[in-house]
Amino acid sequence: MSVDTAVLADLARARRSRRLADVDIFEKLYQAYLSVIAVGVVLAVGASTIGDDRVGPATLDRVLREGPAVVGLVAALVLIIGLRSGARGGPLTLEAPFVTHVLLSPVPRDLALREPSFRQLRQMVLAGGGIGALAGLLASHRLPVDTLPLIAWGAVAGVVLGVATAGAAMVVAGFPVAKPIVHVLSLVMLAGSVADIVAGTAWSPGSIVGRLALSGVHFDPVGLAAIPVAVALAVGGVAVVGGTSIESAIRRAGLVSQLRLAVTRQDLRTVVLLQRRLAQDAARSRPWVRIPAGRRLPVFRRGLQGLARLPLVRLVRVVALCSVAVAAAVGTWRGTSPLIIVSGLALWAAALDVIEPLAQELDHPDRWAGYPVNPGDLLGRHLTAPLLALVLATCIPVGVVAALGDAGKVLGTAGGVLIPACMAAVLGAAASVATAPFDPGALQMQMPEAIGTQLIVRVAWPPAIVIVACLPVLAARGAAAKGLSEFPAATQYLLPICILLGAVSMWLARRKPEVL
Amino acid sequence: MTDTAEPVLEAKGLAKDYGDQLGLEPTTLAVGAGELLLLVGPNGAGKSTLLGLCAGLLEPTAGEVLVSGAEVGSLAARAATSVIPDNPVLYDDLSVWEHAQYIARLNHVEDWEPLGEELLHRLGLAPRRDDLPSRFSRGLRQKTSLLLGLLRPAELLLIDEPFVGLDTPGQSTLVELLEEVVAAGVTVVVSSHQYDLADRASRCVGLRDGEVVHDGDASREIVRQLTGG
Repeated sequence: MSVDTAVLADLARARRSRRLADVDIFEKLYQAYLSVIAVGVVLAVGASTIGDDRVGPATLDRVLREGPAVVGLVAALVLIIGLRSGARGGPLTLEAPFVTHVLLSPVPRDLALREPSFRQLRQMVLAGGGIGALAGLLASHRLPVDTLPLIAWGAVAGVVLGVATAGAAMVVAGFPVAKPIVHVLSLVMLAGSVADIVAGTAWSPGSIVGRLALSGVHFDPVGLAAIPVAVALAVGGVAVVGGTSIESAIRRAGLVSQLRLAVTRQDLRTVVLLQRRLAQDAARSRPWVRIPAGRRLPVFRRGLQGLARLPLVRLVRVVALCSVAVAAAVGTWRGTSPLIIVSGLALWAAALDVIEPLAQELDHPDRWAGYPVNPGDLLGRHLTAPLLALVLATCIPVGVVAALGDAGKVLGTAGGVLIPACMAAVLGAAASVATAPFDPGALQMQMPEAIGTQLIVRVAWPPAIVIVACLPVLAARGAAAKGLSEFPAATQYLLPICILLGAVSMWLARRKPEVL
Repeated sequence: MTDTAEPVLEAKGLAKDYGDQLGLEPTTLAVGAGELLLLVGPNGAGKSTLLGLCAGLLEPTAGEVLVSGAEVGSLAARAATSVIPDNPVLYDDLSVWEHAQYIARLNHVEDWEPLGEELLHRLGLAPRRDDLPSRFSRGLRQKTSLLLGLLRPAELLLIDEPFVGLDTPGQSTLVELLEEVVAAGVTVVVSSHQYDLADRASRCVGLRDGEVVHDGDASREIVRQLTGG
């Protein structure tokens, strides 16, 4: 062991022993107990919502034909996230003192960054394996094949995808690979996956991972090719990670520590802002279109001005999330009911980007408090422009689905669901950012179980109302199965949904600058 | 300009563009051994950018920096450079003495304890040697940061705003320590508005809007003019 390695190992040991000395063993056991209960509940609810109705041979055949490409698209998106993270100096998140003291010392950087790289890979193995195994378990409730192979191959594919993503990010950061090349690589990978879906093939890099994931349904040796590629990326990443930019590492170190604090305090708006800074995603200095000046509707006009400055990456993200929402709704229509949750969550996430003008008002409470109008009334007026933007963005994938499929059924369902769901998304996103960070002091007198429930509810209720607003898709599906018209079925729950949205609007109208 | 044949710090056409704003116009600078260079200028003038580039914390848009002839960021340059940032950067879970131990070992310093003890006493940190700096005031954290920067051997010492948060005795001690370091032949580049240091600096470089507007003698009057005071 070299002197440098011994010094780094000693530091890690000293810090670990200090941390362990501060650990309360009973508190840790209690946390483990709560975690086991939470995972159990998620598994039970997930499995029960998927149901136990096995798909028929025709559907199974379709899963085998189209599944690798569809799973491959998801894999490609994850890999693209990794590549983009690498281009911005990721995926390693180092502490500021580590950058200042260790990376500026005469210790070889590849040696210093080896342990953080291994830690990153370990985390990706655990996360990827866990998510893959969970997906396999949930799929086993519908697919008429053995459960164990589905779980095992799902876990393998998750591990491979996680390792490949972290490895690719480290290669890009360490080499370093120029951003334009990363953009081209990302586009090629995305285009390959889309081409696979359209052509019914499975040869793009993502689709190879898809083949591996579905080996539990039918073993596909081609999928195994993903394993050496992932290992090569990881080895290459660890080999070149010493070349990671110090400037990026410092920027990430500062932002990530703030991000952790914001996540701990459930301060969603700060999380969003810090994520954008991490992604170097700033408003355009020149708007896409100039909004003409005028005296009427100043808040609406200000909203349009803000939206006109959204950077391209955010516009693409909004359309992509709306497309995910519509695709998940189509999946729900075809029989996988839990996808309605994905649909609602994607729409809520898209709305977080388009409510930027309202969020800016919340970011500057002093300015907000200074206007000669009711604070809540001002927030309400800020919802119009984002709603318009979200409806337009959602109409794009709806139009595509209508053009590709049964236009009558699609438009009948969308006609009853789209506007209420978009309204719920805008209100839900506004509610999320208008919720003040929790005050740990105020929770000290409560039972731990009560605190946990309270924290979950605070975060979960805004996206939950979007999911509720998407539920009429199920009613439209039921009507179509009985040969009835979709539109009346989708609109029959409009009144309760409107009452729910009205309640959220009232809650939002009571927000005041001093509350935040 | 120094008369030394081979400068310890050499910047050639060094520039930094942050994309939305210019950090430093192309700058050429050479600092010889044993010089105490005072970097002054109003806020946003480019002092921290220049120091960050010389420390290897920032990547230049153009030009290069050499430390004792080695490219900044290389092992040799890192071994020769000690950096004290404007904001103390310390581990939350190491005591003052553990920090010193770690930094000394990282920099391959064998017999560091006597100097460590002396710095602890002179900076007034002796009673806090086993305490965690995460619970310190800004001033005490700054002193810890100074201790770590001065503990390791260096040919070039880069310090950004070292007087922020220090009490009056702490400021006097720092001035004394810097004088001793310079007397030992170390090149010191310090960004500060401190007039006491202006009397002791061998040279002053003034920056405004990312451009060098003065490179010559240091005096209180010059510092006052360059900082707009």
